[in-house]
Amino acid sequence: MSTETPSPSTKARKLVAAGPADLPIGGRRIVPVGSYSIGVFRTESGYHGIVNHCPHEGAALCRGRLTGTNLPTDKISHYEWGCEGQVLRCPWHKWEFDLITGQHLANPALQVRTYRIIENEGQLSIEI
Amino acid sequence: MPEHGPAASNPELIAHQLLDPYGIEWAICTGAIYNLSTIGDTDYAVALASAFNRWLNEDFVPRDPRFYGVIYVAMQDPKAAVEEIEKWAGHPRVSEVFIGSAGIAPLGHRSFHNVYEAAAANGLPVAIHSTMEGRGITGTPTGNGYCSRYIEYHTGLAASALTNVTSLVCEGVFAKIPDFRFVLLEFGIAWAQPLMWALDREWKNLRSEMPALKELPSDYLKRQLYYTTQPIEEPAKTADLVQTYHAINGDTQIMFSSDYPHWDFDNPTVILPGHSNAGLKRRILRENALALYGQRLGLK
Repeated sequence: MSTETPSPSTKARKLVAAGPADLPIGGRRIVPVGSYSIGVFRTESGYHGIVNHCPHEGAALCRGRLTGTNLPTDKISHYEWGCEGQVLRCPWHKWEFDLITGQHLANPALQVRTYRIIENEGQLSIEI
Repeated sequence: MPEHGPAASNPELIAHQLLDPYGIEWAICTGAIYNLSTIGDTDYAVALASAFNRWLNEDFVPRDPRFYGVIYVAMQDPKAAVEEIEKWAGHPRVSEVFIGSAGIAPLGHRSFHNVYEAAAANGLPVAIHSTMEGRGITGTPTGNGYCSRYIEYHTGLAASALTNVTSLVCEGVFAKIPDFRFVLLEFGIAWAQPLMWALDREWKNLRSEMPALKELPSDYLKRQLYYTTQPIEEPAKTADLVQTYHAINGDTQIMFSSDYPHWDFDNPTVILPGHSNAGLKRRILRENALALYGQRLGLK
């Protein structure tokens, strides 16, 4: 039995191949991972991974529009569009998720899983 | 003692028939011009509200120390409504602003917001009473047209409350005016639970339509919407009613109303679940009203 304690950086993690790093900005790819799948998106801020499953009723979340939204406001009849390209809307019931954090925009208690995407020598991989 | 005459036809008779036998300490007199918002002649509606307020608050209310008045306003003229609120807000026996439940638009419409802001700024809740739906300049009594029987009409009034409450939420009135308090009279209560479920679900889908809402719609309703009991719903199992009351935060939001002198009056000594729910009953009969109106009216 080893007495060595694993450091956090060496904690077991797995990399899943996610294809070539040739996605255009705004592009996406859905990568099967066993019994589920992960959406890999490219935005101006880089590559982002998010689970392809809406916790509401199980729709393929990553098939939804990547868009913006009307930002929260204190004024009635005031609509300020923001977060363009960062809001993933479920194709079924239009639930809005922050692509980068996985946070549902209307329900603070709800967050979907996001994944770090690693680019190496022209290839992408998902850290799961 | 005036044993005869129509019910509520004079203050002594009200005391004899209602206040004394049921131990009622405070009685908000909501008067008899619920039809104000149904009147097509706006100048007449404004004048009627003004005259009625003077009679109610200066002549009628002082005749029994348990009486409290209201400020009727005609929503056909929001500017005049604000002026009427300002005129009466300093009166020590005035409890709330009273408006029609049906008129030319659902009550969340932006043209009414100044009225709600004036009420909230003066510490006055805004109340509505049903049964003018379908009269005068209002739309049909139901969204589907006209009913044959009174029972259809009266039962269906819940739909009017549902429309107005949804409008107040979705037009952002509760979010915009945190001190706005809205009181429903004679609309029932139990429909509020599924309405909250539906609104919360819709908000999760359509939040971006209403960016002024920062919380679940039900969160606003559980703080700012008040219900009154008459006509109390009577399910076969009282426990079902208690469950609904708790689900909508009835512990703080439900108050007793008598509907006196109408035929479907509720007797406060028998209608509410007692014994195992004595605390809830006490809050509905007394403490919730004390919390809403007490500070302004100096009640204890």
